[in-house]
Amino acid sequence: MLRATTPGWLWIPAVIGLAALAGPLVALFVAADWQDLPALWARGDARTALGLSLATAFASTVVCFLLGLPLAVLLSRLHGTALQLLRGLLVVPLVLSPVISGLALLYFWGRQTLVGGWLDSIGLGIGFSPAAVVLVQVFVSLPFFVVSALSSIEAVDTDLEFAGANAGASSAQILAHITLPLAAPGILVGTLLAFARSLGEYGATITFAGSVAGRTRTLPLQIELALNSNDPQAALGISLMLIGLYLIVLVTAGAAVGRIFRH
Amino acid sequence: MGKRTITALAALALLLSGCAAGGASADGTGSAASPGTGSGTASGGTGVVQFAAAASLTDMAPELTAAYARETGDTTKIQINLGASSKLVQQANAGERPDVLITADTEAPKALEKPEAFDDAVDLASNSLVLAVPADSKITSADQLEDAGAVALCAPAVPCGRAANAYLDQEGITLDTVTEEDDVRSVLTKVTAGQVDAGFVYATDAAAAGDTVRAIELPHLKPNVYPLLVAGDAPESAKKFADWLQGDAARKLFDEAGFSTP
Repeated sequence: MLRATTPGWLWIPAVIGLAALAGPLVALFVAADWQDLPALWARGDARTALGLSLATAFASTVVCFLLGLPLAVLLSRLHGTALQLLRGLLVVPLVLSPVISGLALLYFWGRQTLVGGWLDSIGLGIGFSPAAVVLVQVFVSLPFFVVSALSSIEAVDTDLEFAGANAGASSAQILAHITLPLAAPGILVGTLLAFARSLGEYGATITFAGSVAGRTRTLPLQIELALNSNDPQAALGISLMLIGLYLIVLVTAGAAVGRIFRH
Repeated sequence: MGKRTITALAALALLLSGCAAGGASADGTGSAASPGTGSGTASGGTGVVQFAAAASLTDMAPELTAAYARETGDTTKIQINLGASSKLVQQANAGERPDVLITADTEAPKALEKPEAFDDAVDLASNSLVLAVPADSKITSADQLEDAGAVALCAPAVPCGRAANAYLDQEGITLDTVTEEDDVRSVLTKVTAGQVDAGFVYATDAAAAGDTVRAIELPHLKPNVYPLLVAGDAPESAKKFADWLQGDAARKLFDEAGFSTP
């Protein structure tokens, strides 16, 4: 049945694309020394980096959710130029090179700035602390979450929302019982995307939060340190650990979205 | 061709490409090479000399190549690859061997997997580690380090990180917040941007930053000697460049930047 609508030659560019993506990943798996991996993963610095990565990514995902969901809901209600402008603003961090993101954060939250300097003076200095890492991760992941949540909120049939309003529901009730449950798959995917993006963030983290063992040295920074220390096997091992985390996120996403659709 | 045949061929292609990459070098680091900070292409391009220099030579390397072209009239293109010495050695091990390599200490080349591919090292210049502080800092001597809020060093395997840790061990100082950067220029940037209270950089880097930083001398620290290595199979133009680097004209440039020459 599908053959009627799918030209056969599509396979050629598709396979080339797939090979370009999967080839390097497969190479990583092949190059690793699988026997040494458990010992490597048990190393103090790897475990500290893992704990820090998971904790900060979790914290920043929660912040993304709390800030991003209202933003996505509001954006879905806007029309016209206001919407285009705000959407443009949203997409910029999405495509911005992480190094530029780090630089931008430095000029806003850094010690020499108004905001950063003030925070420092009241004792809430964020320099070289896990808080700085969370800040970076929120900056880079929030757009992912909002874009994903927004597209699924917009897909909700407004007739259903009006029906709820007609029946006497308040705006909060409509949101909680009609809009958000229907938009749940997109919101969930957005949450998981934000989490995965936060886990992988490197450039902005090292520019803004530095590489302090136990405080800002997340898994990607630990990988770079291992590479710089002529320890490519350690770098490989930790990379595989990170890929493992991504796979868990993907499987969870698939399972959760599947469960929601079955309802 | 049926869909199944194509899928099978695709899977085979994937596996083969994976295995080929994994078997590239003896210890499988072929696919683990980190991307270079500069143009780290494999040597062998006719007429192009691959010059790998430690990050502390960021300003010096283009000056040296320009002066070489001016004085000898040699028009060979010299491609500069800058980065932490440990990263350069890593790239050399992964197959991107440069024709001319200058590292920031004599310890770094010991990590080369095939040292016999290079001719004997020649000591080119030496550089001292200093403590750089922002110009308006209250820190005036190295004794005040322990009171500093955040200090930046290079990663332990990078020559300036090695020297900095040697100094800290020597003086028995333990620091509270230490950020370990990829190379000495990243440390310098953190100091000039005011992100850290102090950073361990070379005297030449502090000089290059001008008035934005103040350099505090570190007592009893041996200077880092920069060895010059030339690949055995390097083209004639590379060997000529390497010879010029040991000459008086190059020596003058090093002295002006703040290096000491033997």
